[in-house]
Amino acid sequence: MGFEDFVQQRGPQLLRVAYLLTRDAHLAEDLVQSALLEVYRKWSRVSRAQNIDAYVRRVLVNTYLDWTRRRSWRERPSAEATLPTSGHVAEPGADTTVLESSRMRELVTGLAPQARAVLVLRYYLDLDDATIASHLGVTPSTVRATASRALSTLRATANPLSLKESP
Amino acid sequence: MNPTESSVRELLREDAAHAPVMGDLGARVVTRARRQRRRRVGAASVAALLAVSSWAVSSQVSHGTDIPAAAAGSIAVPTSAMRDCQPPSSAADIARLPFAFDGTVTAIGRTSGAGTIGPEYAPVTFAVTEWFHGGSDPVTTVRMEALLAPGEVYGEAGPTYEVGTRLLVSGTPGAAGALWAQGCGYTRFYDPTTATYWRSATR
Repeated sequence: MGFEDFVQQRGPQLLRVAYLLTRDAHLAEDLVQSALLEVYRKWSRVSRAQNIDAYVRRVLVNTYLDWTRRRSWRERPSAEATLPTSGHVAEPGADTTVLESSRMRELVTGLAPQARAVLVLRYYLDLDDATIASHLGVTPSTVRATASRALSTLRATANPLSLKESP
Repeated sequence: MNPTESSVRELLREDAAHAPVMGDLGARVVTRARRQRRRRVGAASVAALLAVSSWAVSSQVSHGTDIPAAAAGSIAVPTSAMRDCQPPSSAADIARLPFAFDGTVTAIGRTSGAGTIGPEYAPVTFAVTEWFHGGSDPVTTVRMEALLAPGEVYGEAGPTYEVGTRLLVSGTPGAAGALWAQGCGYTRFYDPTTATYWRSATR
């Protein structure tokens, strides 16, 4: 498979993952472009690999994490405006759903970059913890701990009342 | 799956539907990569000339604080910085990074999984000859871009490191305190002249 064929086939999904990581359309495009540039330089070797997707995903996620480590990285507050408030249509109780969804989105956006990456890889791409660990260069137990902490934060902050009510 | 996990999954699916469309991104990447490659070839030629010139000059005059041409001794340690590479223009740029040392590679860690090629980054362990600043341990481990296969070198980026290679390394700490080498002239093959520049700038 040639590089351009690969980009044609897998590019849209890479862009969706990048968008979920960065929460910004322009940053997502920049991120995918940076990652693909890196891949393109090594394409003659990468294309012979058994699992090209895994390699490219790894480059994408690490590029994102590198960006967030740099001082120049700044989240763009305006990015939130491009996101939907909810995919739900008006139904009985819809207001509550919209609020919960909006609040949850805000909380996911506020997570540390690595935690957000873990959630995206786990719940959007359905990758197992061992694969996520290899992408991030950490151990599977670190992935489990990161996901668990992120979910606890989301649960506690999104719905403090229910926590208080639980025994 | 608990309700929070379900909510996250649903939220991500909703948001992914609003991602930008791919367009001609693939073609743009190829164009940009070819342009960069041409630029690198040009820069390498200039660097070779500069290296010869600076050798001729340095044999006659004492050193200032400017570092030698970055590309002349620059190693292929292409961390993320290489993507928008801005080599250090003076040794003061090295001093601004949180750590810098002179060390020899003693081990290159790998974490590749079944069915995949090597990781993007690998922990590289150094026996430190001299810390310029930012550390004191005789042995330290730094995250650097891994090779695709043991012993393999980057064709485009030039020769790379292996166990026994002596390097001048500088970079920044990342998450959980791990050290990350910065490429693009900030991590280089050892040479006494550059080491002297780094030492004078960082002390």
